[in-house]
Amino acid sequence: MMKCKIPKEKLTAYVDKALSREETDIIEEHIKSCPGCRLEIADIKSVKSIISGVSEVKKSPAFWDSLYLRIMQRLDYGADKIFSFTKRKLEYIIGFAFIVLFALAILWNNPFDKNGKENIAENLGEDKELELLLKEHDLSAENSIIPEFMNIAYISRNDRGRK
Amino acid sequence: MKKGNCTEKELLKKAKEGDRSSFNVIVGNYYKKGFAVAFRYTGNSRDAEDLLQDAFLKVYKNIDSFDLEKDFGPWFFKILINGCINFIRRKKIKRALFSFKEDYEEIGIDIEQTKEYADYENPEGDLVRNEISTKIWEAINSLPKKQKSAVILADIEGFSYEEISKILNCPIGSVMSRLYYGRLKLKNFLKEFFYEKGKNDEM
Repeated sequence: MMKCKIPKEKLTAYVDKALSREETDIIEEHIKSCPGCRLEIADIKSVKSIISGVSEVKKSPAFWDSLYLRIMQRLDYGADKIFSFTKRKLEYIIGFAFIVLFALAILWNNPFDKNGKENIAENLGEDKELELLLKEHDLSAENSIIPEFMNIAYISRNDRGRK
Repeated sequence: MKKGNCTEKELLKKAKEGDRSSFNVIVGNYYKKGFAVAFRYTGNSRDAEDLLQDAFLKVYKNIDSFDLEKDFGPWFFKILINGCINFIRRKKIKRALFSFKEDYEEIGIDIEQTKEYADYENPEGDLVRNEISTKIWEAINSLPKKQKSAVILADIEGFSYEEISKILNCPIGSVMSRLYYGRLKLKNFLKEFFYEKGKNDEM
């Protein structure tokens, strides 16, 4: 038997009417003189016939309605899960953002420093008075531990005040 | 699928924006065909419904990433079929693990129910034992997954080559090839019925 040059896949496509007009004409011309391809086409048609003889999926309207309903319920359940996950994530992000903003606000305003400044301002006068007293009684830092201590404390407060 | 594409695109656009009612309409357009395809893979309504629900849920979760320039149908059926194929693979593994009758009985399963053809019900929902249906079911089930998908989509569900090409994400030439070799295998598997059918046709 002469070897046929037509690819077999083309015969399947021919049976399925999936070829172009031009290709279809070529096949139809070819099978006039090729019994092998005619037999192949007959086989393909028979198999198709058997397989497509499988019943169409026919269900009652009630079945389709309840199937649709169950799909909707599944989507609701699944969507809630998605939504709650997204919502939680959003809550975490917002919460974190608030914490960061709050921390920044604290650092920016520095309420402890403000209090410190006020204390320093209040104490400044007292210290000055004390200093005068010390000088008056010659109880300067050189002669006394306590004044030195107080000077150190005054200086450290002053440094904070400059901040 | 081309008819009403504009409307479908509008629905998809709204669904992407979070409009659930638009997505529900899309579900309504595809769920019957989707069920039929899943049914061909699983052979029973219960599993087909589970796989269909899974597919729609997956589509819903990923609707954001769907490219509106493309057709929705092939994307949906691709997700559905991949789910069906994975399901069958898991089922085969489970069966392979429990290959002894004693194992089945121990966990209370009637071994007859576990054989593949026993899962097959006709589309009206009745479990069937008739020879031809069983034989066809076994024949289709025996095909390699690529050929099985092509045969189910083309010969049972009537999709065009172009649609199958998009669903299976392969060139049309591959669709032709898979169909040809799939049908060839089926012919060999169904030889006795094939020749009987052939004779009946001649008569």
